Amino acid sequence: MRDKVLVGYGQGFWGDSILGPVRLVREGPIDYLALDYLAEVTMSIMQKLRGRNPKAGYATDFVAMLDRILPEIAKKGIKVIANAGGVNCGACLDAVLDLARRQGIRGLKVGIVEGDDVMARIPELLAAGEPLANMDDGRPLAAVQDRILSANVYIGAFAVAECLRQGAQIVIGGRLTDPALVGGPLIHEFGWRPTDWDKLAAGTMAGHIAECGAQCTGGNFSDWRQVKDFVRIGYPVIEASPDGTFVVTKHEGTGGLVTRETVISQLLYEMGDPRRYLGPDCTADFTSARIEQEGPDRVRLSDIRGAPATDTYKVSISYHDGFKASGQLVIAGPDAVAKARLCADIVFGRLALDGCTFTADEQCVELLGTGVCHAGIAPPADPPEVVLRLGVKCQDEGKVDRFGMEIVPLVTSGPPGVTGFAGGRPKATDIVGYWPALLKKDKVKTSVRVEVT
Amino acid sequence: MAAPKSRRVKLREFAFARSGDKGDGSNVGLFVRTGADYELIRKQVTAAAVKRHFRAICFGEVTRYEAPNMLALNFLLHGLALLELEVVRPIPAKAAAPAQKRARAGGPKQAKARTAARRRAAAKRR
Repeated sequence: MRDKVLVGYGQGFWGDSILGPVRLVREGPIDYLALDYLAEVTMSIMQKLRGRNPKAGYATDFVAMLDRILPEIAKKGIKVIANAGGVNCGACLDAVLDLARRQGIRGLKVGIVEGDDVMARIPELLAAGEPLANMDDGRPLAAVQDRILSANVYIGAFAVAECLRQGAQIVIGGRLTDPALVGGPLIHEFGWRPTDWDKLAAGTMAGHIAECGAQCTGGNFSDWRQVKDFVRIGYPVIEASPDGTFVVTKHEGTGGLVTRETVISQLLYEMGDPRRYLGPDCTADFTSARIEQEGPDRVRLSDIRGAPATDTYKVSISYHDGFKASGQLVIAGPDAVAKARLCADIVFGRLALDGCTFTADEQCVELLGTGVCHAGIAPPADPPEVVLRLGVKCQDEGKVDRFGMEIVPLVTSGPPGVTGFAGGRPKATDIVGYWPALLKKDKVKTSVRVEVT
Repeated sequence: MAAPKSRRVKLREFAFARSGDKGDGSNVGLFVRTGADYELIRKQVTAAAVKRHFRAICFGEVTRYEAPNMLALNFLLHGLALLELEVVRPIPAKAAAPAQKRARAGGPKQAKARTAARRRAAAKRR
């Protein structure tokens, strides 16, 4: 057994910089490269893509990234854990195998973890007495059942560890939890068991700290002036030990900052009750951790306590909830605010003239630059220019598209100083509703498949 | 003995914060560097104070949790209209009126007057 395992976290979401993983592989030592590509809305987009093309529905960025660095990953023996499979792990597996073969890489083992996608099983689960009620407000799933776009269970770290045990150098999953991308390698390397609650909690905390990439190494940090060289910001590296202690650090010579404060900042991200951080493998107590600065850009966490996991998995369900569109204009001063208000009134007035009305809560009118982000807190400003952002939402796609046609005419038929219209007419897009629910663990079976080039 | 001198300071002068989505709202984590500062924020930054601060955008409960190991307080803000930068989340009927108001610069009184004026104008156009 190794006495230390280095896990780099190179991607905090689909859309994060490709430089994250590339530089983690090139600029210092790592044993594992963890990559998160999924968010709640992502799954519904992927289901839609797969509906049009049976070979789509995964994070294509992942394959594009591997295209750049797979030879180095293979040569250095770095293992890759990514939830890039989205709703089509099999297609993602094929794309990676194809890529490796094209690059002449022989003997590369690529595995997938499946079982998270329960969309097709919803009628069966409801019939079996699983209510899948909304965790936030208790509504029964029947309220949206005919509009479901995706449904995925958050799978934990043991499924990742099993895929590694079967020899995969690249592990592709669907809705694996973000922390499982770190916890899986640690379970595999250190032989942690399902009842090692404290160690599993440490793996969860390490994964939680790293799961947004550079957000624990100086990104989005309150004291941002202290952060050196944002351009070359280092992505996090977790240096883990078998006893459950770990150090958060980054490659030497990279930009950014790892201090007790940057780490605590990220620990508090999306936090609920810090004593009960619920995950599929354990319940972690974030208040138990000892957090110490042990050197420059090195923060050690120890003494972490965990408790048994619950008997349910969290399920992330998305559903179609109407249509939206938004567009914006730059309104130059003098009298920018007054003119922007007039523009908003003109748009909704002209729409009404054409029989297209929106209720107050279907409209969004924002004068960006006047203190929109500090409503009720900062005194309203009267700036030399403002960005007028107009949006609507409703169930009627036609009305939303009609709205989009009434913004650009303001350039010539409204007050003076209206400019900055770019990006074409706003078109109606789906509003994706989010429906968190719980599902008994015995209703979910994960499976692993490993193939070799 | 004279009472110790005190002055009002902004949290950002000595505290750190991080926020993220959480269920039907968002969380705000707030932490400081010293035990003395922690006592200060524990006393003064109550759930009620946070609710008051965000009254224009938070329409639900505010829950506070403590994490002494991080010298941190974590606030859960339920029913947050997320500054309306996205037109995604259904805004409850109760929230719709203030949501309209804060789309404008100026106080609620002016906003109310504007809304009334707009209704009149719309009626005229029809």
